[in-house]
Amino acid sequence: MSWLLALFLSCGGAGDFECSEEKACAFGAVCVEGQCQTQACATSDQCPIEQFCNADRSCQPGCAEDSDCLFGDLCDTETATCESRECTDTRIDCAYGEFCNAAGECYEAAGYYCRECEDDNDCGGNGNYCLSGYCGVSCQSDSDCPSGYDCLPLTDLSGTVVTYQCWTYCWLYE
Amino acid sequence: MNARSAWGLTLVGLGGCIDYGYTQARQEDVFPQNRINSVDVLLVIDNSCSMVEEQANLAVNFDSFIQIFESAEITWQIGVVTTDTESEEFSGRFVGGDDEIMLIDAAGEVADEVRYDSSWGATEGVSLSLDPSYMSALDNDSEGRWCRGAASPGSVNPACGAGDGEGASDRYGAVIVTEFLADPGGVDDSLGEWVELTNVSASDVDLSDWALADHGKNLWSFPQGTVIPAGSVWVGARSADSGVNGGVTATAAFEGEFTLNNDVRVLSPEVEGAAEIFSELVAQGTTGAGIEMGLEAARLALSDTLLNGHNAGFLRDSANLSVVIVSDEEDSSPLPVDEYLNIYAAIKGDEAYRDHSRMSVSGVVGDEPPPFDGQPSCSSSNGNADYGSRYVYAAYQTGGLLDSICNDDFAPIVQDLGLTLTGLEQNFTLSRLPVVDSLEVSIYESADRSTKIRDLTLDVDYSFVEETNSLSFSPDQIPGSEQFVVASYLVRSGSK
Repeated sequence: MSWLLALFLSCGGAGDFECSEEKACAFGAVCVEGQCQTQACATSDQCPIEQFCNADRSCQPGCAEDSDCLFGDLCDTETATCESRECTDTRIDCAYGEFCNAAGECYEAAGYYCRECEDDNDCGGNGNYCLSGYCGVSCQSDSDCPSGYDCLPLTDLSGTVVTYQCWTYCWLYE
Repeated sequence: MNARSAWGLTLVGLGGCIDYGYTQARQEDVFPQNRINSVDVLLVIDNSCSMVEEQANLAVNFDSFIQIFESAEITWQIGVVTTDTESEEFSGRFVGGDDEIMLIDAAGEVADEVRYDSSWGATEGVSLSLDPSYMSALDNDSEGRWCRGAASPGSVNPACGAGDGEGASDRYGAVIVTEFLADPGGVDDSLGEWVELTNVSASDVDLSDWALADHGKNLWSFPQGTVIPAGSVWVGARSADSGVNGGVTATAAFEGEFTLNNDVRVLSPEVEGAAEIFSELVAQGTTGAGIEMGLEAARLALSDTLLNGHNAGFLRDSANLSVVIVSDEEDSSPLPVDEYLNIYAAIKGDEAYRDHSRMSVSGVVGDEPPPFDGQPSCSSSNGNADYGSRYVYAAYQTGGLLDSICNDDFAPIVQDLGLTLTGLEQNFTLSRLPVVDSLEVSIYESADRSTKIRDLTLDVDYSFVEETNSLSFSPDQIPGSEQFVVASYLVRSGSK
């Protein structure tokens, strides 16, 4: 009698449902409308970069948050796409020889930076010097210089600072 | 419950009620330690001028760095590159397997210099002796004029038909380097390394105030009154005791003041004498380019070209990657910082972008912005350090460690660094407020507690930190990878 009751409950109670609140699916699967479905992901950490784990538990191209994007990109959550972050710091965000402007864009520095020269006349005046075959550009601080350059003091033989020049080891960047 | 444990609980409970007003509720917290099995550390050392003291500071703290890895049962590898990307000798190539033997005279001039590298074949147990046909300060510069494995310290070198190569440096050398053993086979390096010098002139040479040195940390001064007669040889060794140094008769002992690099580029637990080799690797001197490119040097070191060539054997698929930069200057690498981070992360696969234990950048640098533009980030007895804004940003982005290169003592830094690189938890916050005296803490191999590793004693193996309500482990006591810490304790009355 008890055997028949168990059989009845099994058929009538659970129906064709493979899983329920009481009957969990195997590890790695979720219960969707009574059926166990293997999930591709539980969190975005299980998806490739520039993809995220959506509500259906599958990896989808795009992003849900910044950590789904490459370093330097941010997630536009409205479009679920990774976008390049605007620059905020010349030295950190821009490539060699570029400045970061107020619009958050890196742009190539115009001027005589690291232009090859034979004497100061090749460097456009304005206090620019020809140093070791490459032009320096007059500056007052590092922030006057593009990425990769330092505002370095130039001294005379007595050690007195004559000028400050944006300069670097130009030959290394050629 | 057996009779003994019942008695123990009753006693604790009684004590709690009478003395402190604690309740009898008992809480058990289980903490899984993180799983970290291996780490590849790429150490990027600034070798520009001004870095001698920092390199030495790092070298003397190597043991505690490695001790943390070993107590955490982590397999580790270390490769060392310099921030110099100008010189072909560096440019992302692991240092090691090369060294210099420089003979400095009383006037400070280099009387002779022999620079060897791994192509010379100074492998374990193999000495190098100068072919007697080339006994001059000029002729001993070339690898082709040295014979391998014909050890004859203190005697005339045997000929081996060597003859290739040209002299590189035109030293005047009346006394020259004629034989050496960098990696003794039968005894420890700290006992068995030796160097032979020969007076090739027709006069006796007084070596008082002379020294043996290299471009890194080594400097050993000859004892006053040391004289090499014309045409004679002199042998110095790490130990002058022939009973322990491999049977070499040596006139003087260098001990730790002059050492020779072995042919090792990637340090690992299997490398004998790792601490000494590390001290040689990080003592890169100050001859590097004046412009430092730490991020670019790391990129080059991790490039396919070098990983499949000079730097082979370093990167393991299963290991985490940690780039550690030690520099007192700003990074001048050509790419935006984030581009470098993407390159490093791509090497370790997709998870490395999100999981910072898989890839991180740490920096021992000028870590604070200066108060005014143009001023140093920090100063110490070793000099000033510029603000390393690019390194700071890289560490911030990847969850790496930042510390100041201006600290006089690197021991705490090295300890922090070791802990960060292991990725292991040092502190475990309890879920409820404990009766401290009732704490029973044990470490198990698995969560089901079928195999106990050991019981821990409060204030011996761990401490309780009231402010954070956590168990805290000292670096040498940290639970190992994937072990479980189980804390059982009585809950203080009023605690939720």
